[in-house]
This record gives sequence, C-alpha cells and structure tokens, in this order.
Amino acid sequence: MALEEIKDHMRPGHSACPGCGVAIAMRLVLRSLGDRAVIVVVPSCSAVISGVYPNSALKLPAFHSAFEIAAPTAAGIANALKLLGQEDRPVVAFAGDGGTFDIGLQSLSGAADRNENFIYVCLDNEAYMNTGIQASSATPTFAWTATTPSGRYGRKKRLMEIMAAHRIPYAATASIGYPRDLMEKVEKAKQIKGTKFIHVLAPCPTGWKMSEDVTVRAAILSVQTRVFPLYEIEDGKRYRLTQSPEVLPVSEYLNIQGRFRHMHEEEIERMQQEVAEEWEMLVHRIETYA
Amino acid sequence: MRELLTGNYAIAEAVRLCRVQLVAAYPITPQTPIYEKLSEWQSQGKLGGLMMRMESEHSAMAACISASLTGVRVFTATSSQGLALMHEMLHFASGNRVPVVMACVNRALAVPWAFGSDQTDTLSQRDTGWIQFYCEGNQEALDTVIQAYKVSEQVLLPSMVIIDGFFTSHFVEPVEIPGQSSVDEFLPKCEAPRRFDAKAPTFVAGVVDASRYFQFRQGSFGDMEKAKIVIKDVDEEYKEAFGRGYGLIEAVDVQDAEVVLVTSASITSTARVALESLRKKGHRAGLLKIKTFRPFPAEEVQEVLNGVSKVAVVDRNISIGKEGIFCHELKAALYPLNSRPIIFGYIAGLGGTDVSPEILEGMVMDTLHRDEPEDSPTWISGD
Amino acid sequence: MADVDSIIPISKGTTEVFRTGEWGLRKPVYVERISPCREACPAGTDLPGVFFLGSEGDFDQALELILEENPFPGVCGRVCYHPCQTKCNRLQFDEAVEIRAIERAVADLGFAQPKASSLSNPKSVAIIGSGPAGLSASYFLARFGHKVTIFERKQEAGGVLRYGIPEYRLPKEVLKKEIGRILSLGITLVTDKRVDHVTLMKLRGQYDAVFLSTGAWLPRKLGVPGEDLGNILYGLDFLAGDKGRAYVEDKKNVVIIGGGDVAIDVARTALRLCSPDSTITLVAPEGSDDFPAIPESINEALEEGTNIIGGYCPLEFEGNGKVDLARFGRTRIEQDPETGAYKMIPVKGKDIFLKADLVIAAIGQVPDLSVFPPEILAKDVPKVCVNNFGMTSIPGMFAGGDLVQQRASVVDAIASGKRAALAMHMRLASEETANVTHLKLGNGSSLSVQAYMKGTPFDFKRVVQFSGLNTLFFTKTLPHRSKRLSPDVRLRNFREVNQGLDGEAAIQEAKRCFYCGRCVACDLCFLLCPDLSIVKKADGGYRVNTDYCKGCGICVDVCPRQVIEIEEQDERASHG
Repeated sequence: MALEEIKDHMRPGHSACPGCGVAIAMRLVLRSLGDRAVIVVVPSCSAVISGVYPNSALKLPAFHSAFEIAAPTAAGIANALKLLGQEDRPVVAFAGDGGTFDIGLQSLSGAADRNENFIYVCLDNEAYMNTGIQASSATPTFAWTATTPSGRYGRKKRLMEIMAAHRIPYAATASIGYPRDLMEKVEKAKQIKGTKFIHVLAPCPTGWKMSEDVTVRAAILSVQTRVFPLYEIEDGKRYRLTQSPEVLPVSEYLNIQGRFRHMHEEEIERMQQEVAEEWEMLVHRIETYA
Repeated sequence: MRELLTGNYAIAEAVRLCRVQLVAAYPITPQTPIYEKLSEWQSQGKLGGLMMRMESEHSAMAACISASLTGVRVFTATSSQGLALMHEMLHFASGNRVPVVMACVNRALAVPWAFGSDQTDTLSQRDTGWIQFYCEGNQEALDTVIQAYKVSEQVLLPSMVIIDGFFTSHFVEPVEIPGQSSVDEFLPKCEAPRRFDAKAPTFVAGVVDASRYFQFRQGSFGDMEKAKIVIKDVDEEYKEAFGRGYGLIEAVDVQDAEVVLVTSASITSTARVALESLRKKGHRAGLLKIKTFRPFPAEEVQEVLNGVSKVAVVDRNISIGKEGIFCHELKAALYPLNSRPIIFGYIAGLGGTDVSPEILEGMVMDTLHRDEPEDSPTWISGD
Repeated sequence: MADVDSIIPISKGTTEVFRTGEWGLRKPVYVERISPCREACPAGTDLPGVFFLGSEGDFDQALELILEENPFPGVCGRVCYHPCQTKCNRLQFDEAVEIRAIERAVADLGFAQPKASSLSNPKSVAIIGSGPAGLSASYFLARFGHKVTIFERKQEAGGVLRYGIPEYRLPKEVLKKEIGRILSLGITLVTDKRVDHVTLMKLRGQYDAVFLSTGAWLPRKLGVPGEDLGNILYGLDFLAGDKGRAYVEDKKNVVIIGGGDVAIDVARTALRLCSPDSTITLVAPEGSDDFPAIPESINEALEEGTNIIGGYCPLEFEGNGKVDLARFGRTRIEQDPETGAYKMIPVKGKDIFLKADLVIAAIGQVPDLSVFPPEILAKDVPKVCVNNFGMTSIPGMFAGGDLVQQRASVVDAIASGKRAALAMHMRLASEETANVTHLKLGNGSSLSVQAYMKGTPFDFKRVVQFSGLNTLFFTKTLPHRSKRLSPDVRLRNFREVNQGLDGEAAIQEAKRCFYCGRCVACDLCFLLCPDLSIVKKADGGYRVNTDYCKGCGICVDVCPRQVIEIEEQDERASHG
C-alpha cells in the first residue's frame, strides 16, 4: 500500500532514550494497525515510552497491564471485543524480552495454546533495560549486562521455535533495519485469525553501549551477519526467509557494540560458529518444511 | 424451580442466570465442579458467551480484568493455592475498578497440604480491596452471586462470593432456582464502562505520581465504604423480588444474651443447632452471623453487640502472629464502643476438621465461665 | 461515586507537552550535495537527478534535465570517455552505474525541446566552427536569448562529430537529431564558409562577440625518415574522407600508428573497408594498458580483428616510391611531473618490422592557427591562449574546444563552449564574470548553467564521499550492460555496434544509482525517527521538528545518500 495512506499512531514528546530502538519498533508496528486497534503494554521500556499519567504517546486506546500478563490481557480484550460485536478490531500486545522469554512465557504459552486472537509483539532489546540492564534469557552469550558483568554464559532461547511448537498460525522475526519488511508482517498478521507472534530485535544504545545514532545500523547488521535472520513460520511448520541479504562476518555486528568489547578472538570465533550452526538448522527447516 | 444442588452447582446456576459473557478459569479442588458444569453447559449451547480455559489462576484473573475493562460481564472461581497465586491480580482488579465476581471455595493453604475447608485463603486477601461475602449454604451462594453482580456493577469494585470447601461446595441441599426472566429484570445487561473506545482513545492505568496514587486509593476506600449501603439496598431489593434476603449480618436471640457466638459461613448452620440446644438448657446464648466481611459492617456489629457482656468468636482460620481474623476484625470494630464485650477467640475447623454442635456449645460454656480476656485464641481441635 | 473516568488513571493528554527537543543542542539539517559523478563530468550534468527521473520511466523530463547542462546527450551517451563512471560511488560497492548507457537511452527514448529566453537587448555572436565546442557555445548563447550565427567551413555542421567519428560509433541520424535540436533555437548556420584572417576581423567588428572553435585538423607529423613516401596518410584526413577512402579497399597490410580514439577508429574503419584477408595492425607508443583510447573501443577493435602492439614507436619507413615496410623500436612513455608533457623514451629491445602497403599515422592533431591574430596565441604550445572562461587577450574574442589547452575530447569541448557562452553572456549583459564561484561544481572544471538560470539550490562545493553513504540498504547487483552487435555481424558495414539499453533495462540501471547527495524521498529518515520528528512537507521533502528531535542522529546514519548532517545549534536559538 502507498505509505501516504498510513498514519502514525504514536506521538513525539515521549521519554525514550535518544536513538531508542524500541520506540522505532513500536512506531512502525503502530503505523500498520489502523484506527480501531487496542494496545496492551506491560512494564518495560515500551510502557514508559507510552507515557506517564495524564499524558499518552499513543493515539490508540491502550492499557498498561502487569509484567507477566501481556498475552492473557490481550486475549481477554480480544474475546470481549468479539462478544461486543467488534471482532474487526485488532488487539496488539507489546512486551519486552523479559516479559516474553522469562516471566511472561507461561501465560504466552497458554494464550498460544488456545490460539487466542491477538498479535503479540516482543520488543527484544536483549535484557531488562527499563530496570537498568539486567540479563534475561534473551541476552546473547558473552554480552555484558549489570548482572552478567563478565558476559552472559547461557545462549539466547529459541523463542521462535517455542512459538512454532504451539502451532500458532503465524510467527515471524522482524527488524527495524528492514522497516518495510516489518510493516508488511504486521499487515499480514492483521489478516490472520488466531495467535500471531512477531519477534522484533530492537537495539538499545544505552544497554548495548553503542553510540545513539547506530541503532538501525546495528539492526541491519544483525540480519546481515545472520545473528537475527528474518523469517516466518506458518502453522508451526512452514518456514520461509523474507530477506536474503549479503552475508557479513559476525565481527561486523560486534564491533559497534560496547557490550561485546571484552570478547577474545576465540570467543568471537565461537560466536561465529554458533551463528553458523543456528543458520544451518534454520536452512534445514526451510528446505524440509517449505 | 426447586432442585437438589451442591453449593458448586448452585453457583454455576447463578452464573448462567446472570448471563455472564466470559468465564476464564483454571481447575482446583474443590472448585472444579463449578468449572466443569459451566463447560458442560457451554458444550451443550446452554451457556452464552465464551469460556477461556486458562493455564493458571493468575492468568485467569488477568483475562477477567481486561475483558471486564472492555465492558463484558465476567466470572471466575478458585480456591486456596489458586487464590494465593492470584494475589497480585486481586490488587490489580480492585485498582482497575472492575466488577469481576469470583466464587471462592475455601480450602486449606499449603504447607501442610490438605484439602478441607479453611477460610485463611480468602481472609488473607482481605487487604486487596475486594468485597467479600461469606455464604452459609447453597441457596445463599446462588442468591449472593446474583446480588454480587448488581453490587459490583454499581460500585465498580470486584466481589468474592465465598463458600466452605466440601461442606457447602459438595453437600447437596434443596435450592430454589429463580426464573431467567426474573433474574433479567433484577440484573439487567452489563453496563460496565467500556474503556477501549476507538473514537475516544485513552491510555488506561498509566503510571501516576505519589500524590495521585494517594488520591486514587482514597477514592477506592471511600467507594468501598459506600458499597455497604449499596449491598444493603441490593439485598432488600432481592428480598422483595425473590423472597430471600440476608443482610450484612444476621443476629439471632441477641437481645438478652449473656454470650453471643459470632460465626460465619457453614459453621453458622451448626451454631443455630447449638443455640437451640443451649437455650433449651437454660443458657442465654445468642448468635451473630457475619456475612459481609468486606466492607466490614462495623456499625452494624456495634449496634448488635453494644451492651453484650461476652462474645465468643469462632474462626476457621488463623493469622499466625496474631489470632483468628474474624475475632481480630471484630475487636477493631468494637473498639469505639464505650462499653465493650469481653471477646474470646476460638480457633476451630482448620483444614476441614469437623465443628460439631457440641464443640460450639462447649465454646459458649467456656466463655460463660471465663472472665479474663486473653489476647491469644483458644485452639479447639475437635479430638 | 465520582465520574467513572476519574476512578482509575485514564490518560487523555498527549506527551507532546514535553518538548524533548530541549534535551540537546544537536539537530539534523538537510543539505543536498554534488555527486562525484557530476563533479567529474566536464559538462556538469545533474546525473542523479536524471537517473531519478529515469528510474521512474520519465525519459522526457530526464532528457530535459540533461539538456540544461549538455546539448549532446545522444552523442556523449555513445562516445564519451565517461569520467563520471570512474568516480561513481557505486564502484566501491559493487560496480559503477552504466551512466553513459543510460544517458544514451534517455536521449534516444525521450523527447524535449529547449527554449530560447527572450532578452530585451539581445546581442549578436559569431561562432567560427560548428564542432562540439562551437555548437555548444551556440546552444547556450541562444538559450540565454542572443542572436547566434555559426560559420562552418565544411558542407555540413558537426566538426569531428560528423567527420572524425565513424558511423558505427555515432550514427548520422543521431547527429542530425541533436544538431537539429540545437539549431531549432533560432541559430543561423552558414556552411561552406571558410573564415580567413580578414573575414575574422570583419566579423569581430560586426558582431558583439566572436567564439573561435575551429578545432584541430592538422595532423601531427611523425618526424621519421620515409614519412613522405606514398600511401602514408594521417588519421583525421582519412576518417574525414578528404583523401578518399575508396582506395583503401585493395590494401593488404594496413599499419596504423597511435593509441588514441582516432587511431582506433582508423583501424576499425580500415577493417570494414579492406578485404577480409588483409591484416590491420595498430602500433602505439603507449604501453598496452595505457592507451588513451576508451577501453570499450579498444576491446571492440580487438574483437573485430585488429592486431594491437603497444610500446613501440616508428623509426623509419622503407619503400620504392610507396611504402612497403615500417620499422618500429621499443619505447616507453613518461609524463613530465611538472609540465605534464609526454615524452617518448627509447627502451632497449629488438626492433620490429611490419609489412605495410598503407600507413596511417594518428598521433594527434594541431590546430591551424594561421588565421588568428598572433597576440591570442599561446607561447609554448600550438594553441590559442585563453583563461578559465575562454577569454582571449582580445576583448570580445573567445575560444574553446581543441583550439585551446585542455583534454581533446567531445565532452571537454562541450564544456569549454558552455563556459565561454556564460562568460560572453555575462560580459554582454555587463555582469561580473567573477561571480561564477557558485556555479562551479565541486573541484571540477564544470560550471552549471542550470544553477545560473534557476538559482543554486544548494552549495555546490559539497561532494558526496563513499564513506558518507549508508550502503546497508542496497543490494549488490550486476549492472545492465548494453547490447552490442556480435563481431561477425559488424564488419563489411558501418552499423552501430553498441545497441544500448532498451527502455526497461535503462530504468532498472537508473535504479542502481545511489542518488548521492540528492534526497529522493525514500522515507528512511522519516520512518526510522524514534521521536517522529521528521515531518513530510507538501512538496515531497522533509523538515525536522526541532521541538521533539533529541539529536540522536539516526537519520544521519541511515541516509543512504548523505543529505542530512548534524549541526550544533546555538544555545540561544534553541530556546528562542
């Protein structure tokens, strides 16, 4: 569709850090929702950005729910709207990586199991940023955070696989470095009934220790280095890549982030191997289940 | 229509009659028959609306809250561990001023693990800002659910309708089931505010500063106070429409009583039997049933107990570190009186242990023979 | 109970009450710049602008835009040595944009007719010579509104374009169309008119200004023994047909001397005229990798069967009345770092002997300066002496093209005609010629008439560097190459070898342009601003809402074409 027809549903004046990736992600998602959507936010950067009483940065009706319940909150609203004859109104929940990978995982799983009708957008900045940069299970290996000062030991959970295991109709990764790809995915999700999950990598200059102007660059590099490939999974079984950019070595992505600055050569190599391994598995699924 | 129903099924009938639009629940003994009965009706097309079979009680209350904010009538039910798990959401519901009605079937809280009736689960949620009704029997449970919707939808505070696990939930009693049209007349369609209007978008529950928080809390407090009047009015209206009313409290033979036994829920029925026996033996015993626990009917109990010399409170619950909770709240409610009864607290029935009429008689006799109040309650195990 | 909207926190206000623009003093500003291709182009064509229009299939407007700076897109799109392509920023990403091919497609497929302005007091200008320099000067002067008369010695206009470049590189219909478009501005063309010294001075008196663009037609001599033998010709004479090309047909061993475009064209013309069993050999003093000729032409010559030998210069010709043997010695070319002049240095090695029944020497041309007043001639070189604007020491007398000291190429001639036209016009309109710094494109030699006539939209000094681009949004793609006739089809005829790009290929290739320095409303800055502080204007551009912009600089970082930069605002200004 022509970009001129789409309106923004977000307002300036919000208190996101300069260069905030979450703000960009929210803005792009909100652009694609139309005027009748209902938004759920939970404690995270996205809630703070949405505004402090009595002001709102959102032009759509929204509700600030509790940390771990973005999914059942959205499901409750979706079902109530259906009962009120307003099933055409999309319900979209925003949660951070903490609220999705960790504390919110159970309730997200329950909602996905019931195939509740809403779009769940995980705004993943790879740590509990709002509370001051603490590690979550979305934090990549080796990353510095305030609770993993010598670098995180664990590996980032394969949340897309977890969502696919629920056989939801649509799951996709998306990136602010590929804004049109992201908006198309939201558009597509809107047309589907059931649980839709969109995992957006939203780089954070504050938590990733980057300069504030390279947020989008980091997002593009995450895709090009295959750290965060862009793909869709339909019905938990059909995999499809949505972008196939030129491949770059993982060091291109690491070099602009202070949270990886302490890494040794062997660690960078190990990360490169892990990225290659994950990519191989993804390619295998794409080819086997296309 | 009169039928033999368990307390759980009576509640289910009330939910159906109230045309609840959305049920979000999670199974836990001894609540499960409510959930199962509603599911059965839904699969037969007898229950309108939607059912969400949730993956935890916490999520169940979460869904109830957001659906209620959207503007539909909701219901859930739980017990014990489930209610405890919901705790965060209970505050959340009250703060969101949603008219959720929840049936709670009292059951002992672990640890130790046990499944019998015990009121500690609901009473330990007394600070969450919910209206709490303790029902004596199956009929009252049905009637209270219907009244609760009307009250909550007026005052915009959530309600718990509470029954004893097994003694009420699973025991069969004859219950008068009102007709649908009479209930429709009494309780019209849900008019709860619809908070997510597409034409006038707002951001609900944004972060507030300290002074605004203070104001909102004060507002809720004031509205909970006013709820007492609404509860009374609704109860009277119900009595007129259906012939049955319960009041915030019920006083029996109190005028000349030397000892008033204060009870709640199913123990009250046992107490009625004990009262009769005591009177036959020539003891001037009276009975005070407390039905509405939140908002606490302070004025009402002050009026009943003013001038009474001794009060024995039976608590099927305990607040470790203090005493039985009904006793505790009663003492606080009577504090302003110039002449206060001496209050004796008794702990009985914990974990579902039996409370027989003899035990209650024994309590009254014990009270009669004692003159020194004690801070700590007397524990009666029933052995 | 109070009103239902006040019992829970319901926010109805807007965060726009917070002027987050006050968080810092850094703010982005939109600054358009010159692309390096435009800086490199002697004509200064607005290439990114042309490609943007071309990418939308708008060939008419694209052509109109080219014609603002260069009247000969169809010619340059075929024969230019494309310095633009060597500077194209895309070269550092994957491969340069096929700029010349797109220019040709626009010229062939688009239609535009430039108009002449009307001046209240138009002046008269005489142009001597209708080659690219003369026609270019005529074009711009006529557009400015002056009355132009061209005096051409030959029967038809065009100069080297018609008489020096063969049809297989530049078809006559193309030339006819392009010259026709120029003349339709109301220029008077007088052909068959040789201007001698006397006529020149008379014209000087009759016209308000005179532009000398007679070109360089006299061949440079080899200066070796035997040069005066029969069947030794000179390149431009041969190509222009003056000495009769017909008698070439029976020659079996043609030797061409020189490494420039004229030499290559001579070789390829000979290939087409001679019988298939004849041998065409080209010997150039430059090393094989250093020929001054355009590489594409050299490749085509090789494909067609030319034998090419680099690094040798002629020592002697032998023959009985007519040449039959040529001797060459190893040589090396050195450029004097100070004067820039080339010197041939003999190198140790065996001489080579080539059988030759026809030798054509094409080592350069010099102008015939005999008709010009001696005071305008240069001291050390056989050229007319001019300043940067083509002004000679005689007021009102200007010169350009191969007559003056500059690279001898079509586009450089066009550029010199344009500079002189500007200077003449400003002189005639009594403007200061010094006031052209704003018309200069980057550090190149070109001046922008587009800027002169329409105003300068931005500072032309700022040139986009590759390092300033964000190429992460681009995908590597192969360029669309022009179709060319296969070598076996080419010989025996003079059909155009380079078939160019068809319309769709031209559009796709134009899309490969990064549009360096030019905002094409790609919307990336707009979409990716976290603070919604980039606002679309009604005219299609953007402005920054400094009330909310926190100065993060993401817009600057993501802009693929360096049209935004960060500026530190004055503290007072931001609180004004």
